[in-house]
Amino acid sequence: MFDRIFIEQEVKDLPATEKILRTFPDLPITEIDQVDKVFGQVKKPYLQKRETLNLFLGKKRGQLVKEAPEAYGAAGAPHYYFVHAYNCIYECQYCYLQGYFHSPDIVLFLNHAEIAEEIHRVADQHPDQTVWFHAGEFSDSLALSHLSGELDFYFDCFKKRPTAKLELRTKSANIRELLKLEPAPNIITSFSLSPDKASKHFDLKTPPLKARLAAMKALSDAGHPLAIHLDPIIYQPNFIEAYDQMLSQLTNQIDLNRIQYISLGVVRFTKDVYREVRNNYPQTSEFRGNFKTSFDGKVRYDRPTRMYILNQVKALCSKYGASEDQIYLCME
Amino acid sequence: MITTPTLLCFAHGLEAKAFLQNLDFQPLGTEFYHSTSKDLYLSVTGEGPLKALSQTLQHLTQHPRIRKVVNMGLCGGLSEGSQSIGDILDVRTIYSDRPDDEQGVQFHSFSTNAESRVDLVTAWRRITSIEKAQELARFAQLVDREAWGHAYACKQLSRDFQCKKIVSDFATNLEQCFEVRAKALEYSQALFEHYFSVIEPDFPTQPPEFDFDIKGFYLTNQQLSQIKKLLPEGTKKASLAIDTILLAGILGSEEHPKKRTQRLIEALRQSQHPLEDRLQNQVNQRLQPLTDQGWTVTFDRDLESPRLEIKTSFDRPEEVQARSRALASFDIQSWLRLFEGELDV
Ligand code: SF4
Repeated sequence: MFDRIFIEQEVKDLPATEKILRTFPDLPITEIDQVDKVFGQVKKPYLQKRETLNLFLGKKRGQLVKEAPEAYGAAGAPHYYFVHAYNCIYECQYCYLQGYFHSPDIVLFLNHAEIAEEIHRVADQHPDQTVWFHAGEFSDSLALSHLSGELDFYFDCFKKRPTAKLELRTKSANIRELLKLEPAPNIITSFSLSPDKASKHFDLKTPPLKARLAAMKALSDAGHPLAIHLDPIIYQPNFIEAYDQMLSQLTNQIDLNRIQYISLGVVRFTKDVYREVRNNYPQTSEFRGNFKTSFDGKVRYDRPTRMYILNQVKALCSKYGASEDQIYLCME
Repeated sequence: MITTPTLLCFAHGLEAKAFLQNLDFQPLGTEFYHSTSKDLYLSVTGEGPLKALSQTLQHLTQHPRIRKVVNMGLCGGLSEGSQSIGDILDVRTIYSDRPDDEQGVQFHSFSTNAESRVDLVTAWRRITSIEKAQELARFAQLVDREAWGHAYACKQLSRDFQCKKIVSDFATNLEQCFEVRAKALEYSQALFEHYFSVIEPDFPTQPPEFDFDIKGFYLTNQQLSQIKKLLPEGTKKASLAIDTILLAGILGSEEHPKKRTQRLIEALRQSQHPLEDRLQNQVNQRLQPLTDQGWTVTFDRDLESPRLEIKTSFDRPEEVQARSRALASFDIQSWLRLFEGELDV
């Protein structure tokens, strides 16, 4: 999985570090002062992640909890995200990480205590509101959770803060660690789903839809709250039938009433990411053509097309039993 | 056979010796040669990234027919154990250290098409300390003094670039460098044999230009480039990339070849972006009551905002009445609903 491990001196004696190193006893290890001094210092081609990845272990510095962009989650509540990892083992063709960092190497930050302290401080600023915290803004929240081992830590943190909510966003089916934990009503695991064919085409190396649905079922049966992101929806001529079929598969396993919320979003890119996507996946015709720079400078379909797609998928969700309040439109 | 005119670059004459001895290279300039039989150019650039960069730029601009550059020569290993002396390696990504004595590596890197997992960093100065070697080892497995310069020139002038290096010593073992000179000829011979057995076993032919070989169409250059854009990137042969059913339908028509080409472009566009086409029809249909009556309608071409600007001019009272009627009965709600995603009318 990894070629080498770089470890910041400050975290080398942490139990989490020792645990990770035990998993990779044969990998060469290099000690460094700070992740930033090596990671992203050079432009490492994104697609090299297919062959070689380095693993960095360090401490997140700077702002540990950040305000989420507008329309990030359900409206009316403050939303924040915290960062405990950079990059991802999957390779979704539209992933914005390809234009974000200068390297696809995986970074795991291990100073969870400091991050949790900051979460409490931010939550204290909103005594009368439900504050949302999102993990996985720069990574997948569960894909490496067996390795990074931070889930029990954040579960403890949020169990002490029942008025704040934690969203763990994922495309993985790696729920082993999660199933070991006692569910909490304010910790929601949200799965990004797309129809099987689209997922195979665009979400390279991610678990197939079937595996994600099975993971959702297992979590639901164990009492963990769930949410769904039908995002990004990418236009393909048969997208209505494809989403219909996917929702049918989903509702065969889980009643939509048990889903806390369903977010819908149409594919969108920053200009830099769009350039990278076109560069990295020149054969993907779905990313050519009907893309425009829209109101916020992002590259997306024109408004009638976006709204058409969202309306169609929203109608399908209703058809399968989702209520109006369960659905929100992401980034629209 | 058409070959791809290729420039081979070496830092030192000794590294190039086997090539110069075994092929019919004739001098074209100082340390710059050409072999007519193989259509190969060879340059001995001198040591260091600046010389590599300037020499390569000069040769490529003076001989624009050169389409590919291969940098070959000796390099150092940065971590003993992962490579052995004498290994010939394909380089994947090339980094450069900083020319000023600062720590770390320059931000820009260049990639070749190599499928290997070996990266290289080009050093601006000779490596004289183990610490420097260890610092560079964080980014790559190999070190040389030129590859980054060659890669930079190729990137600037959009030429293919390949980099093949033979490991001659380890930068972590500073005593080895005396042995390198003694073995340089042997390494040169190994690179020569490698080049003709692995890199260019039978001289690749130049990649064919996009080929539109379907009879029954008449294409202008502009139409040819439109069709190229509508086919998957990298498509070489239109006959293979265009759906045969679509083609048969268009070729079966009685139309003039020019008209057929227009139809082919439309059909290709529609098959790739069917929604775009539907949207365009909806826009036209909803504005038609105004445009039919002589209003000029301007709207946001990106369809992000529903704002409309309309203007007209008239000479006769009947025109005023007809246009007023058209404006009064214009269904603005329908136009606004388009922006809420109503495409199904
Ligand atoms: S799962 Fe998310 S973070 Fe990972 S590659 Fe896909 S989009 Fe990017």
